[in-house]
Amino acid sequence: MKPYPPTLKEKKRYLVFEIVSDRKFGKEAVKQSIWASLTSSLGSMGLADAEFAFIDFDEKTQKGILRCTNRKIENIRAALALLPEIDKYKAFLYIRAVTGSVKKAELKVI
Amino acid sequence: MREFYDALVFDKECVAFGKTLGYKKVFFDEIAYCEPRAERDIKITRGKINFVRGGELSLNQAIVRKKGVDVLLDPIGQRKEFDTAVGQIAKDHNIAIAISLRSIIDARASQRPKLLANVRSLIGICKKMKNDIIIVSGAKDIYGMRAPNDLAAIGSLFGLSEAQSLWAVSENPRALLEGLP
Repeated sequence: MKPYPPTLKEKKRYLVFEIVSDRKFGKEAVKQSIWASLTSSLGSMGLADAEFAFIDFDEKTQKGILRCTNRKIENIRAALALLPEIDKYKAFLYIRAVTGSVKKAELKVI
Repeated sequence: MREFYDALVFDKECVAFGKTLGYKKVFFDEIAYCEPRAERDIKITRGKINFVRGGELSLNQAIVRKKGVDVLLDPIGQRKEFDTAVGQIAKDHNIAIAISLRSIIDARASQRPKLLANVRSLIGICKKMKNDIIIVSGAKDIYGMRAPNDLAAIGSLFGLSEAQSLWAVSENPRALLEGLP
């Protein structure tokens, strides 16, 4: 089967986020909170349309990477802004950078 | 480079924390906040930016008719509490319409869809009547604050264009600050 040419593929964006809170969280807690917030705001169809994915989270630095298409980046940002708490503790996600490749995103997480 | 402002916070800690998030200024000492239940409760403080929280349609009408009000905050509820008449009076009296992130976050999960629909309708009316729109965090502590681009993203979720959303967190709050004596 012939693959899509790059011009027809969706352009991806990688969001580097940092958790601002007075305590540290584990990867699973962060992942669950983000998914819960996004599904309640955008719904499963909205997330599918945005091709959303949780890529990675570093528990030491409390920074992580999310992926979505460049068309839906504002929706994802807005939905993440509506996240009030993680694991029942007050916290919020601060989007530090938006990159076009996962390599650059990883450099910002370290 | 664009300068961002968070026009309403309720904690002094947020002022310093706002700078780390990328705001040029976070309004705390400059504002006078009032949450009236009826028309007689509306209090105006001279020399400050007067934020008055809206509510029912009749209260919103009273607020935009009151002299000295600078910003009508969250004229939203479970019903549509803001119409073109209120928008026109607000425009005539140079009153901005503000939406706070806290009111959306604090809403119960069952009420949030209705609230978001009403905010979308409010923004539609404000765009039609050419009202100044401001997006504020309304944070009670630093965890209620959000980065300027995230606040702007909320605007675009409600039907504002990207430029209008950025304007709502930069130029419109700055105009309030410039209006101070």
